Amino acid sequence: MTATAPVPAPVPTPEPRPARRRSRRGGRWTIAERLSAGWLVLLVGGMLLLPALRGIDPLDIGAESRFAKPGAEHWLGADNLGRDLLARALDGAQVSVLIGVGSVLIAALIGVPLGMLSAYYGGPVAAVVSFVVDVILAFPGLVLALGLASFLGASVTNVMIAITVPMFPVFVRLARAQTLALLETEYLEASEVIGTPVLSIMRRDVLPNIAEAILAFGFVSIGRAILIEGSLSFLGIGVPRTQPTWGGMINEGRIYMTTDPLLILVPGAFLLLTILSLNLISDRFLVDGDPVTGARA
Amino acid sequence: MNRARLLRIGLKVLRLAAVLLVVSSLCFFSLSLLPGDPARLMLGDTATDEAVATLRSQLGLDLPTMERFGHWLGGVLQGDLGESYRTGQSVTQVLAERAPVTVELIVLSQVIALGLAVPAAIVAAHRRRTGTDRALSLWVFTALSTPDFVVGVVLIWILSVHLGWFPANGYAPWSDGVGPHLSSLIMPAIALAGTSFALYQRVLRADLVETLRQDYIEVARAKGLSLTRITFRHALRPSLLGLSTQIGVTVGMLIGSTVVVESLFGLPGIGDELAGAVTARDYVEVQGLVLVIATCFVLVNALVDVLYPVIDPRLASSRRARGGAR
Amino acid sequence: MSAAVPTPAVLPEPGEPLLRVRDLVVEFRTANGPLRAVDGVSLDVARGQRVGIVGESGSGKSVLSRTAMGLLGRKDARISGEITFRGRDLLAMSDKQRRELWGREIAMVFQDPLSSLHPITPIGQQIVETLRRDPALDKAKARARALELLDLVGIPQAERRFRSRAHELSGGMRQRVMIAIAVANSPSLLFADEPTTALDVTVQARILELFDELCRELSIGLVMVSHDLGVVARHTDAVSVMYAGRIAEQGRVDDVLRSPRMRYTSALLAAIPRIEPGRRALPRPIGGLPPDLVNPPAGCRFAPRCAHAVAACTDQVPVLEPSADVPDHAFACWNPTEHPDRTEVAR
Repeated sequence: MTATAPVPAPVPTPEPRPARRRSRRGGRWTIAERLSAGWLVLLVGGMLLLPALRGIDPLDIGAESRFAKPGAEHWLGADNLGRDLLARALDGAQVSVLIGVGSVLIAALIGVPLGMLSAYYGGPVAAVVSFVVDVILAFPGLVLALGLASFLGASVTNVMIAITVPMFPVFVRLARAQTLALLETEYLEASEVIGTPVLSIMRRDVLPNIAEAILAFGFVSIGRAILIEGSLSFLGIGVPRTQPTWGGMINEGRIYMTTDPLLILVPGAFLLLTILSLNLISDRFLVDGDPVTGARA
Repeated sequence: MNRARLLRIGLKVLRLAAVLLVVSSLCFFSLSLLPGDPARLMLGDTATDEAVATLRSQLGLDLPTMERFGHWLGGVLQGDLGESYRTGQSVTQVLAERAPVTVELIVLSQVIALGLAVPAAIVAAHRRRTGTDRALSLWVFTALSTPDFVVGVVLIWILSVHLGWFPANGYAPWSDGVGPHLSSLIMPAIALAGTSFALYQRVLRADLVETLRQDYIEVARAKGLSLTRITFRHALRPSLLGLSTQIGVTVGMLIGSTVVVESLFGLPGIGDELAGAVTARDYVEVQGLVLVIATCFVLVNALVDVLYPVIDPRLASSRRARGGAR
Repeated sequence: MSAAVPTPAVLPEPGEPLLRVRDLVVEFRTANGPLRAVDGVSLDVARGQRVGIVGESGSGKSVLSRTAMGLLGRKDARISGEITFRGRDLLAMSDKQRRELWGREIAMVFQDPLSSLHPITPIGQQIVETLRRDPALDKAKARARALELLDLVGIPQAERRFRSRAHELSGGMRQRVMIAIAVANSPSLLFADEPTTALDVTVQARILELFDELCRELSIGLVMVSHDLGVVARHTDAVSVMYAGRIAEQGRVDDVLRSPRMRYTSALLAAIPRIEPGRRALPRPIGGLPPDLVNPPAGCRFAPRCAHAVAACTDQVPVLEPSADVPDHAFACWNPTEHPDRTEVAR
């Protein structure tokens, strides 16, 4: 976040101003963005490598290491049962990353083609798609996820489904709006006149042009998915309780917060830093409107 | 009111009714999603076959599906959402008891969120691209990225455990006095307000930046009006459309968040009840609560839609939705 | 770089002029380097006098008027030179002091009345708001006065229009409202930035006549910025022709437009399509583009586009100097147009 001096408009005559904010994808990375990317790399790297390197089982109970302070053996300390906090947080990271990335990928794979096709065909196709979207979005995301998780039963896959269902309609809307804006350009009309098949217009001409907006929204959505997963785990719903999760760790650590705040601070920090990093990075790809709020996306 | 507009409103109402009908059918048929017999799942593996059979007939599960649906829908339309098998209370009764707590919590959190977001957006818009704007933006991003329950836990840790200002847990009704009542709600409201604050600040800041570039703001300056007057009398109102849309969307999100926050703080609201029902596999109650929540959410957004022309009269006469100030 | 401070050619009545601008330089910072939008401009406006500023878009005329009014301040750009309003140094004033003047002593009418009027607030309220700058005026009085003003600027059924919003009025009506707002507190100085550009030709004339009337009756000093020579010719007393941030020619309207000396003014006049009995000259547009103000050409800035450029034009900056025969007609040109017969109209 470097401070750039305000640049006044050279000649303040009433000119039409570009409504679109240009993406800074090619531009310099700000300090915040570098830190964010750094954290995500560290998290994924640590999640994949550290358990093997350190050889500590996140489920290992040890009476002698109960509430151990951070040190050589337990880098971030240990919990009320003597389980290593770092090992547990990284094990929880696997769940969060898997659910976050997985549900967003599925939501995008369903939502983006639907949105593009509904924008292209309009008429009854669009009406049906938009009705389905309206119905699903009538349920608040977390409530729907909660309901689905309870109906489907506890498992990581079911949590992924429970998060995907309320999420894919938003991808439909985004892809539809972006495609509609794009379809107005003459360039596409020309390609249509030539008689290119629809699917190849979508793949070659539309998708690359709306990819940036979808990418931006994708990053935010991963953060949002991780947040929902955290909330469900915190409530003890969805992911089986034996599996360490960030939300679950915070829930279990609450009792000890007076004496050992690390029990909640460690998973809390992992959760916060991960979601914050994803949000900050998505800001790089900001094209039109605001992917975080999705208000005008 | 002309005919075209009447037709448009009619179509919207029709669509709304259709959405609500499908929403309620989904709630009903969700029971069929269950892997296995709902009664068995509710009672657990240890229950006797007799108990399961009793519950089945209680729930009407032995009737044909469509007949059950008819009964259920008829009941819903008359305000009968079924009974919780845990407590035997009717879902309507549960709602009547618990809704006030949740509504008050949400309203309080929105007062906090807007109370912080509007000034923060105004300052950031006037000082855009300065250090102040960036600092506010970092705060907003942090608020946006912190789950409510993390904020809640930290609040309890600092304000209750260390400073002892507020009770960490529990609810004091109005009858206990205004002071205790508000103290029991203030921390959950703050925890709930974080995300809304962030969303509102971002939306309003962006719209204000756009409005402040408009010619009529320069005219207001040329009239010699003070910055305060320009901000509040000239810039703010044309910038409220995005914010009002966002509030509508956010209310739905908040109902979801109350599940977590109410459980954390032990508040007897709808969210806490829903969490309890989900954990206890009380499907009938989950069904009823989710239906009511979804209906409220749909209606709030319909209300926002109706309010647009009131917020911005340009929308009433021209169909350039969101034009002008953007 | 700037020449010796020339005294503006048009001499106002004796005594302090209403607005006095001396050697004004306005420089913006851009990504490519400093941009001088206004470069060494001097100008006087007297009470009741109508001064036109003419130039192509990007010539700095809008920046000049906004700076002279104080809307563009030291916070927005690097400004040097001198601007005095009724003997008070405008550039040295605090924001608060300037704000005191705006809307009461100095006012401005902008180009696009639709975007200049508030989209939601009823127009009557927008006039009242300006009137209420005067603390002595209570709400009822302000309302009555606003109705008078609507009447004054020629809006029929003022009572009914009072509650209208900008989008419900026609373009001409809107600009009349803007003018009512501007003259609400009887300012002594009025800026008008392309006030009729956004309007229909038929409406234009009536709005311009309204300006004439108001200036005469309220003895307002008017600075009218326009790219339209015809407008300036008929509705101002004195004119300054601007090119690339500098004054090219300055003087009484009759002198400057009837016998232009600076080649740019001549070229501008020749670019106007005109239909006159017995003469059928085709308009001759000026070739080329205005210079890049970040890297302006050395010497006369018009030289690259000038058909009459001589050697001096490309390496020496021409100084704005009074002409020998008409002392209040000044121009900056190395190879000026000659007018043996001053009644001849430039083609």
